[in-house]
Formats: sequence, structure tokens, C-alpha cells
Amino acid sequence: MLRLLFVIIRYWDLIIALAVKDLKVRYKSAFLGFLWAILTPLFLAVIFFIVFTKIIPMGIDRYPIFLLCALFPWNFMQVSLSMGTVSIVTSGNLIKKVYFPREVIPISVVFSNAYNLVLSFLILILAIVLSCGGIKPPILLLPFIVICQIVFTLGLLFIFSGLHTYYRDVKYMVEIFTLGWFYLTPIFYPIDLIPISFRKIYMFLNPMAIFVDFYRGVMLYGAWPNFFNFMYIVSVSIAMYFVGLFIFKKYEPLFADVV
Amino acid sequence: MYIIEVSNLGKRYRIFYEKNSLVKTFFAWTKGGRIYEDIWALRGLSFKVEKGETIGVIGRNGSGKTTLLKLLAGVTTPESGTMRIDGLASSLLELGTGFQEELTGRENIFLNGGILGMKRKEINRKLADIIDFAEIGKFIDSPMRTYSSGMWMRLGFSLAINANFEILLIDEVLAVGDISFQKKCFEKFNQLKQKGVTILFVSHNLEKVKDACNRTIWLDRGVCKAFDATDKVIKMYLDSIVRETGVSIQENAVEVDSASFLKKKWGSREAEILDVYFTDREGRKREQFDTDESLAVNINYLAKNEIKKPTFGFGIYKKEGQHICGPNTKAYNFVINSINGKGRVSFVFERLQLLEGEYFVSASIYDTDICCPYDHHEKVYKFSVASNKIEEQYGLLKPAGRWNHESIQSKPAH
Repeated sequence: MLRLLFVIIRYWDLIIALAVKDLKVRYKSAFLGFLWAILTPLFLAVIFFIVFTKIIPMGIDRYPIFLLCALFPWNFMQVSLSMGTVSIVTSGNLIKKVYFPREVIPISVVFSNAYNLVLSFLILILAIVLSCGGIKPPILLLPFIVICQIVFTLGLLFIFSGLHTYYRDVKYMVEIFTLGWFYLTPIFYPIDLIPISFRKIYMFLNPMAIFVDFYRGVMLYGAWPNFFNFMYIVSVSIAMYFVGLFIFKKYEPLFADVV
Repeated sequence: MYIIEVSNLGKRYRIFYEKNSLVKTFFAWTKGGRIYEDIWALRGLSFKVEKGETIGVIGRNGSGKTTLLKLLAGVTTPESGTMRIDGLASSLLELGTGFQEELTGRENIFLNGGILGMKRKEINRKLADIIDFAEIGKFIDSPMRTYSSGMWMRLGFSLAINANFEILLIDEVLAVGDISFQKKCFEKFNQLKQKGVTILFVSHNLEKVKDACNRTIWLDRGVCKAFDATDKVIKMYLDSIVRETGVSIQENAVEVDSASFLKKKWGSREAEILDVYFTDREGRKREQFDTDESLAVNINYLAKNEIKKPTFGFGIYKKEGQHICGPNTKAYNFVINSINGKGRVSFVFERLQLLEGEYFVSASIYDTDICCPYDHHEKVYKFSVASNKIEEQYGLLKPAGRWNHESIQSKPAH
């Protein structure tokens, strides 16, 4: 476990350099740069706004902000997973020729997307302050929740990218999986719509629902997270990370032979 | 104390018949079918290298040379055996692998330095040296897509040698780049050697291996055939090519790359050219002639069985490659009814018309229609022509002809 931490510290410069490269290459020719990164969630927000206020009104207060609080972190995870799953294969050239701990690659993918997430949250917070006055102290927990989600996403990504290197159909499974997950997570609907008798087990099975609940709580409603849920999500994230890394490391030695 | 100790090393590659998929693997597993084939790229390899040695690795394509470097670099893991490396081994498998063409040279130094395990601070310290050695100059802040392949390679090399490795693994990288940069690289190698850096050098260029390496490993189909002093191993390697292909190789053949050398001789070998030599009017063997002298091209042959109406021929080429002439027995209506056993065919230039220079000679034995070669030696022999007179000469030939002068309308003398 210490060794795993050591990799992140030892290769910190490389992870950052790869993440920066990733952002630079992605935006080098796009005039709008960063805007493209938040365009997808913004566009989705517009669609959901039209559908759920005009066509099937749900009667949710400040619906655009309600949406974005969940869409930004969702988009972060979804893009990280789709880019990250194939990242080992697309870096094949490097992997075949140079040795460095391979987890550096998915980590750098998540970091470059986390940069976008942080920027979009800053804009969102500004919008909240301007539109409906004020944020409350629970927002101080926001960085911690973001870190938790990064760790959770990394864990998943380790599994997917490790497996995809061996089995090239994992990419498609991940696509279907995230699509279903999107609708099963209270992103465009409130968590209250889940039947109360069922809600505990539902949140237990879908950590993303807890993340979304927390994001809305600290940014929109100024509410402290439920302590039990909070401890649960921290342990799930850490467990996910290590399980993922364990699987990844099991597959890692032969990456160079199969990419 | 050895810096590299390898014992009984083996590497198996699993070649899948089709691109692997989770679904297919599952079905194959339930049916108990096999969807792959195993190929051993290396097997039972054992050797030890001392600190500061430069070791050559030779062998034909597919003999496992690159696999060996990959294992030593830690890029892939062995299937069997053990490997102990006492120090940091580089991954100089190919230069400039990780360069991103959209990033500038400077940004790429930081990115690839990181990939090679360097920290930001360390790179900052060495930045000037790296840029300097690569001779990139002001282009360092331009995107790498604007670089020439030479610049690309120089930057890669410069970065790699500045990365403080105790063991350098080099795979044919010096095949590219101009002569002056290659020279600079070899100088740098010598400096590194003196600093105690151990180098493993994979190359098809036997001459370079001979220059650079004290000891050499010869790999053949994944098995180590020899590990000994370089001269010895190269000789064994060339001998084995002779045995397997039946091609004889002269002493100076080491100068040429063994692969291209093989292309110099071909044919069914039902009749063989044993030797080609040049003689003067007195029948003495010589390699240097003067213009206007008599020169005979002699081809000694051996026919294993009787061959009817073969065609003998030879060609003379300028050193630069220009084909000057290619007489053959058929073109001169000279019929050799049959050959069997040893014999000699010769062609005599009564007066050699060639001017000063070096000439290469090809010799061949073909069937009657000059369609199937029994034996063909492409530019294997040579002779030179010197000019014993100081007269100025132009072109390739001193043509056989004579000058004439007559005046058409002479002016009366005053």
C-alpha cells in the first residue's frame, strides 16, 4: 500500500506533465478550448430543462442549477471512463518501449478531466452566488467530495483500462454500462422520487447517487452530508481504488505484449 | 559482482488467432477450445555482464534480440528464469518514442524526461546540456511537427543519454542520423563507458559491433548460440550463414552488413563460380592494371553434374555503380557445349580501354537462354586501373580507335 502511494509521489511530475499534455493536445486547435469540455453538460442541461419544465413539468426549484450540480460531476466521470478505458491501448507505442508504472496513464487521464471539473464548479458556484444569493459553510466540504469522487473514478478506471487492454470489447460494455448508470442516478430527477422503502439499499448500491446528493447538498441547499453516508462513501472510494489497482497490477506485466 | 545476471531466461508470446475479446474467450473456455498459439521468443538464456562492459547482441531477424532488451528494460516480464539487474536500465529501445508532435521541443523534454524517470528539477538542471547536444537551437520552442527526422532523433538521443542510467540498452538506433552525429554519439558512448556505464548494443551492422563491443551475444531463434569475444562470435555467426546458405564469405565481408551480403550471391548452384581473378599478358594474377594493358577475366567453375550449353558472363561496374559493360558467351556466339567438373572460362581484353579508377566485377553462369541463374556473384570482385601517364583523360574509356589528319585545302606557304 505504501508502495502504491510512493508511485504517485515519485511520478507526480510525470502525471502532471501527461495531464497537461492531454489538455494541450485536446484544445490545441479548438478556439473555444475549455468551453468544449463543459459544452456537453451545458447542452444536456438545456435539453433536460426544456423537457422537464415545459413538457413534463417536475416543479423543481432552480432546475438549471439543480441539473448542473449533478451533470458536471457525472460528465467528469463519464469522460474519464470512456477516455481512460482505452488509454493504455492508445499509449501502446510508449508502453512497448519504455517502462514506467502503467497506472500513471489512467491517473493522468482522470487528472486532466478533474481540472475541467474544478473549473466548471468554480463557474457554477459563481452562478449560484449571483443568481440566488449566497453559499453556506457546508461548501467547504466540496474539495473533499471531489477528491473522493476522483479516487472512486480511478478505482473503476483501473479495472476497465486493465481489462480492456486484454479484451477489446470492454470499451463497448463500459459505454452501455455508463448509459444505464446515467438514468439510474438521480441526475435530472430528485432522489425523493426513489421510494423511501427502497432508497437505502438503492444508495448503497449506487455510490454515484450519494455523490450527487452531496454535491447538491453542499452547493445548492447548504446542507451538511449525512454522516453515515459520508463514511460509507469514503470507504467505498478507498476500497474501489485498491481493488481496482489490485486487478490492474495483476494484468500490468504483460501490457506490452498485448497492446 | 555482476551488473546483469540472467539465468535460464525464457519469454513466451501468446499469439491470438484473432483480436482477443472477453466474449470469445468465454465461449472458447466453455467449449475448451484453444484460440491462441504459443511462440517462444527466448529460451534458456543465461549470461552475466560486468559493470562497464559494452556487449553486442547479434542475430538474424526474429532471433529474440529486441525481446531481450525489452525484458532487461522491464517493459515486459519473463515467462521463466530469473533476471537480476543491479542498477537503473534505460529504455532506449527507440529514440523519441513519446514525443508529441503538437508540443514544443522544450515541453517534450519535460514530458519524456518524466517518462524516462527524471524529475522536473533534474530536467531543469540538465536542460541546457540536452538542447545543446541535440543541436536544436532556436527551434526548441517550436512544435515538434516542424522538426526534421534528424532533429527528432537527436533530441531523443540527447535526452536518453542525459537520463543517468547505469545500463544503456540500444536497439539499432544509430542506423539513422548523419555521419557527424553518429560520430558524436560514439564519442559520447566512450565517455559513458569510462564513467562505468554498461551498454548493450543490438545491431545488424557487424562493423559497428566490432568497433564498440568487447563481448558479443549471438542469438539464434531465441537461443544463445555464443557469448564470447566479439571477433570470435562474429566469425562463428558468419560461418553459420555460410553453412546454412552455402554462400562463401570472404575475410572482408565483415565490412558489409551480413543481411545485404547474402543478397550478393544467388543461383541454383548446380554450377558454381569458385573464383574470379584477373591476369595480364604473361598470365600473372594482378589486381591493378594500366590503361592499354592486356587484361583477362578468368572464371573458375565447378559443375556438379553435366550442364549443356551454359552461358558465362561478367559485368564491369564503376565503383559508383555505373554499369560499363556486360559481355556474355551467348552474345559473342561462343558456344560451350557442356561442362562437367572443374574448368575455367576467360575473356581477354587485348587492350584495356578503361581509365583510372576502381572497378567492381560481377560474374555469372546462366542456362542457355540466360533465364535461370546457376550462380551469380553480384559485384563481389574488384580490380583497379592506374594511369602511368600524366596525360589528361576524360570520361570512362580510352576508346580503341585511331586519329587521322588530312588537310582539305592547303594554303600555299609564303
